[in-house]
Amino acid sequence: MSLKLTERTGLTFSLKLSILYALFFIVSSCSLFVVAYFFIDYLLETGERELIEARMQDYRAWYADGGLDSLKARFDEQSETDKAAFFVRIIGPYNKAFFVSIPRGAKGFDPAQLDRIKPKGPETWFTIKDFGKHNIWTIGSISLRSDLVLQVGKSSTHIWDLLSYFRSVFIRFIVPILLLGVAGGGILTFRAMRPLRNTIQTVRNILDTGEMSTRVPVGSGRGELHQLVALFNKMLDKNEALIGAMHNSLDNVAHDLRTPMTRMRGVAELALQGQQNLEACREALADCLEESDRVLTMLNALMDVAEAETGVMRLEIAEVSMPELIQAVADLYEVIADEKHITITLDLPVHLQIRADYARIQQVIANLLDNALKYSDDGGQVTIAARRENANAVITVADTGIGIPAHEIDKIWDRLYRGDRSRSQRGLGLGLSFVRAIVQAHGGTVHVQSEVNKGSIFTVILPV
Amino acid sequence: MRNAGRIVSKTAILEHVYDYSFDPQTNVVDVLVCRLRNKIDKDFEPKMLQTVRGMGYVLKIN
Repeated sequence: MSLKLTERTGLTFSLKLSILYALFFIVSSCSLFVVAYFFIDYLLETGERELIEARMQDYRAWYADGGLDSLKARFDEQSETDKAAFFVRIIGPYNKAFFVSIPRGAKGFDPAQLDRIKPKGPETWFTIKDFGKHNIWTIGSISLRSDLVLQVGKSSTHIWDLLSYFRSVFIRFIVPILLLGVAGGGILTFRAMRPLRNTIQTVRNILDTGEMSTRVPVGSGRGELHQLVALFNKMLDKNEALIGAMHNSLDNVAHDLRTPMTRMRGVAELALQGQQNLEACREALADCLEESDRVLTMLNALMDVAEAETGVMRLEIAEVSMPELIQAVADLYEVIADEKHITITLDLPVHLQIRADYARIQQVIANLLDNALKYSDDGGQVTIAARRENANAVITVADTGIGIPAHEIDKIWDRLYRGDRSRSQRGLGLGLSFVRAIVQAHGGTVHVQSEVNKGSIFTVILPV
Repeated sequence: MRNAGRIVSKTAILEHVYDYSFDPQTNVVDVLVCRLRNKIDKDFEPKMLQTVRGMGYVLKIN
């Protein structure tokens, strides 16, 4: 059911997105059109009015020079050379016309139309719109004298033609724009949502088939969704690795537990079956105790590693003197080194304080030294050195032992992993997992360099 | 000598002798006891320093 839900929300989300895109596209194109329309209208009209205004000023000046006669004379003189056709009228009270001049081309223009419009004042602008006769006029008026009004007008039909052409273009284009908006929105959403669809498909695949190795196909984009896909794939990688590791670890634990358990069972069974004497029973019990100690040790070590790895382990952080700590561990193992005629060489500074859990770091060094001694032949050499490098304490444990083959070097840190040649030695395969987990819990790192039959160098770097 | 007659575990020996609070998973104690035995019990029967399997060691003074 949850799958259907994701599918539905995914679809509606795409739909919403494309509708939004189309709407935005249409609204913005329309507003662009409207703004352009009114801007052109305004510009042209302002131009017209400026022309008319200039004429009105001329005529007023002429009138001021010599009255109506002078104006008429000069107007006639101008009309002969003038190509621009202006309507000019001078009216007195009650719209009595003293002078009227209507341009020749102005068919259907009737000054009486003007009289029907009530002027707001002597100086104002009129617009006559007679669409039926295709007659649009812009007329300005100013007063010449207290009772005389000069009216100058100009045909604005060309402006109207331009604007109506503009409108018809818009109407013709609105359908393609609409289609473009919808199609563009659809295509864009489809493309943008592809990573999401792929992710949904992959998750569904993983859930349905349990196939953890499925990955979301990564496109070439760099957007947030592509980043999400890349991160999602990374997470899947990590999960797969973790589950794989857990699986292996569990298999190994089961395998490693079975041996001591079977042995214990065998010993107890044997002790119960026969008519044994007390001494034999004690032996059997001691066997059981030893085997269960083995199991317990392993389980404790496993839990320690798990705790340290998950960061649950409580570290008792205090000032720790590394030279003292290493000296103490070396003293402990001196006996074993003696047995195998291995010399332990220490190369320690006088002072090297770090903040750490004394017991845990001691275990780390002990594990490394234990390995060094275990995998070195008689007469070998183990060197523990410590030094300070910037803000870190660097501790190296170098041996002249059997070394680690290249194909095993990455696996040595895995829980319960035992190298082919290490099986002859007793051990759980947990020492190095533990070392790494503890060092990392302290914010440090541990590395290894090794050469088969020459020896290994383990380097622990801990923050001071 | 203080623990004469009592069984002492390997861990306890480690803690007392080395102030070492965990199992180093190694036979340090075995080797130590073996050396000690060589020193005190080598030419005697019965041995004073005895191993109790699964438990530890015991010092028996007759």
